[in-house]
Amino acid sequence: MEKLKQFASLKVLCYVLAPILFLILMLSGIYLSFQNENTYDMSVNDYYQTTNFADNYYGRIRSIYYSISSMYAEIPFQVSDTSYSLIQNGEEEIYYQSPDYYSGFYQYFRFIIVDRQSQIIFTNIKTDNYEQEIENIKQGKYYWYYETENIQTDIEKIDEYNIRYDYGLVQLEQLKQLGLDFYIDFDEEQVEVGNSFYLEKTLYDTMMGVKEVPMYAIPITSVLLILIVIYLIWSIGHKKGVEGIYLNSLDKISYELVCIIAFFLFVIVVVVANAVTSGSLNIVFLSLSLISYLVAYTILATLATTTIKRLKAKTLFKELWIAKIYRWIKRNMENLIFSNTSIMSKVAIVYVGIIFISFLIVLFFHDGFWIILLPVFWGFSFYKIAQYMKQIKTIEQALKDIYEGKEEVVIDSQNLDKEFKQIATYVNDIAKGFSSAVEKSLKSERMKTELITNVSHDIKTPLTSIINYVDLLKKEEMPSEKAKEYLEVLDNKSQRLKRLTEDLVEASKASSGNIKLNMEILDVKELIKQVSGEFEDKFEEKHLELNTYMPKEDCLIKADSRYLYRVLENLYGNIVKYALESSRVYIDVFLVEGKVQIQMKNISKEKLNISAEELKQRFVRGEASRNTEGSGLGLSIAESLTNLQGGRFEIYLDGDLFKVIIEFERQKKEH
Amino acid sequence: MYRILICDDDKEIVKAIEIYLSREGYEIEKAYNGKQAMQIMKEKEIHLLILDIMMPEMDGMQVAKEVRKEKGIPIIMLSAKSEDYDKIEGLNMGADDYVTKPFNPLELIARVNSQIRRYTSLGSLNKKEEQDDIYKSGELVIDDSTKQVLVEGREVKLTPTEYNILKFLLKNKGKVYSIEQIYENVWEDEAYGAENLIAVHIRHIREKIEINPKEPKYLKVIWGIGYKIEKIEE
Repeated sequence: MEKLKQFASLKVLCYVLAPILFLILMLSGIYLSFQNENTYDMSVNDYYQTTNFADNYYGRIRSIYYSISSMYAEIPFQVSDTSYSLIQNGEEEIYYQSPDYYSGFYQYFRFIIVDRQSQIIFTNIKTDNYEQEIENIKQGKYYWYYETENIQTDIEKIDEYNIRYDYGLVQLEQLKQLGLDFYIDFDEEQVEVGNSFYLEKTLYDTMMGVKEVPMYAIPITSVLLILIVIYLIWSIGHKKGVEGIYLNSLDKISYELVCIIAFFLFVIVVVVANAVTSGSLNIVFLSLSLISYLVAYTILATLATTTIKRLKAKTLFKELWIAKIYRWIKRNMENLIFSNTSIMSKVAIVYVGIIFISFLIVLFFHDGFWIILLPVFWGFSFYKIAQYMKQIKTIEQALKDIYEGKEEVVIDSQNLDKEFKQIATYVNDIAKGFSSAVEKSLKSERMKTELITNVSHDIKTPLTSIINYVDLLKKEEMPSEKAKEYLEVLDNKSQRLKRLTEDLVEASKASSGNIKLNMEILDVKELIKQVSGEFEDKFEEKHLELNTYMPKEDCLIKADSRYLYRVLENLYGNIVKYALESSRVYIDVFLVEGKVQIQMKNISKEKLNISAEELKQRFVRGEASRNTEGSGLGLSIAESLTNLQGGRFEIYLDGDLFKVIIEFERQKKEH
Repeated sequence: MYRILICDDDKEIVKAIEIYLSREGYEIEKAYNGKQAMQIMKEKEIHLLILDIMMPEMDGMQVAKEVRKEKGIPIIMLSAKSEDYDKIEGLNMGADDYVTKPFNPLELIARVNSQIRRYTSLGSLNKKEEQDDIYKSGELVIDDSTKQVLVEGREVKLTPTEYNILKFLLKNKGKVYSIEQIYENVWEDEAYGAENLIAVHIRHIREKIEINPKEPKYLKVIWGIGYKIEKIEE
């Protein structure tokens, strides 16, 4: 199936076949409509028996009559008139007209008009014996004559014609008054290429020859055309070796431009075709109309192809200028009107729009009834919308309360519509579950903190003794060097245990938010200078070179002075503990988008086989062994305390580069 | 010879403190609960009381309250409770100092010495107060005429820069000064780069004058704002 899509020659064949089939279908249709038109009488099987023939025949009679009678009214005739020649034949005056004087028709009509009183004869037959000729006409195959106020003819349709149209009778009346007899005969032998009887007869005969063709041609071509169109729609845009829809340069230029160009080309073709083909039906006419048909087909097919491709590639509506303009307007309108406006005012704007549009519609249709109903409609819809909005507002407020963590949020669903009642029930259930969950977690956090605090108290008392007696022991004489070594271990570990218990309490308090903050405006630049001063000797000890950048502007933030120091103390402490000795440390202050940012960068001594997220977890340290002095709580405490004070705390690890970013909202200087 | 009463329900802790303080030349009385302590207080003259808070029978808070009714001796609270809340409560109950367990023995000794000195030698310093060249806050005293710095009776050696900074802050005690302000006021001639060293100098001063530089009594750090000398009234 996929291959069929990419079969290029089949597509070309379809493009070629389509106009041919369409042409056949069209002609068949025209032919069918011809058949149904009664002047052609397909049933009689002979052109000379059709109404069309009778019509033409009678037309000739009338035109001959008109030219003769208008001349006859101006007797004596102008002999000098070259059209007629006067033939003296005894008593009779004969006006002879050459058969080829007129175009076409007269060649195969033989006529004799006789004024019985004055013995004047008008004719296009050269003969000595007109009486004989009149008899010949009467014997002819398609004769018509008016003699002694009677019409005789063997063409049935002419009789019908006379009766059908009044003017036929009027002319007979005139003939009667003038006392003219009219004899005419049609000679089918004389019908030749190039005259209209020939064309009509040929057409008729051709049509008779293919009388049955449309019966097959219409359904077959229709089915084929539909199949071709479906195949083309299905396969257009797929090309061998191209993934998805293949778009050529035509498919990429603006669709509106393509449409406009196609429209103008089409108009030009139609105008030109009309101008050159308004002549008679001949080979030039046929070829010109065929060419214009093909050009028109090419234009339409190209337009259809690119449209389908664009639709498939989903670029049609996206790329439309109109769509772009629409989106631009929409975006700007949204920015202008809809940004930061409540749902209420949005609906209000839409409502006003609806009123305006409905008013315009009614204005256009001038319908009195609707104009009366319009205010009623407006009023009713306004009432309904207002009611819905009020209920949505209620639910929105409740959801906002839940989001903001308010306790005991309950929607009173008594006054709500049925649809909103269900929503309200859901919201109430969520609020209930939410507040109980929050309560539970708060309670468990509190209990945890309390437990940790109590346990640490209980540890601290025996620890006091351990530390004190280790200290006392150190002042005693030791029996051996080994004993001194062991004592040193005891001293280190007991000091570490002390720090651990202190950090543990602090970490649990910080992470549970169990801390009273005293927020004030601080200068970050001052803070960094102070803390750097505190750690100066410790950095020096490890040969760490501290580099600090600070902006010239004020870097004021709102934080708790003591707890922010704790954060920095932990981080500086970490640098002293974990930074590679004799490396550079960068502690910079930046102003970033209304925020004050402290960036601390150092190179880690040990390999950091750990993610930034894990590093912030309690009790996790960068190095695998736990033998160093840290408790593993420093970063966790720093993060919790920063977050408690409304700051952002971020750790980035990049190879051995360890980077901490602390960010606070920048504050204006207080005056 | 000053007599110190140590009261804690943990006998080992009492014993340890006894060892440290007797080395300093103090006479030691021991009690293992509040009632015992009250009893000893009645029987003997005590110059300083070290009190644990959490004790059976009568806790440290109650003892402190009772003692304060009659005596003005210094009381040092000793507790595993390290919350600010506990410290404030202890000090409100009449304690003069608060040391959290586990404590550094040297720190405890220093605090005891300081309290005893203050308790016994009050008034002797008052004479100097009247002189113009004397700046003081509590027991931090600077004699500008002799460039002497005394903390709780003990002389402290400071470098000229440290001395100038301390003098400036002590002169304006109770007021907070930022690094820049200190720099502008202390350095008469502009020495570029010296500004960054002020924080270091102040740490050095703290290490010299404070018993516990991390919890300074006189030279306080207000992080992100500046430094000040606490205004301590007698």
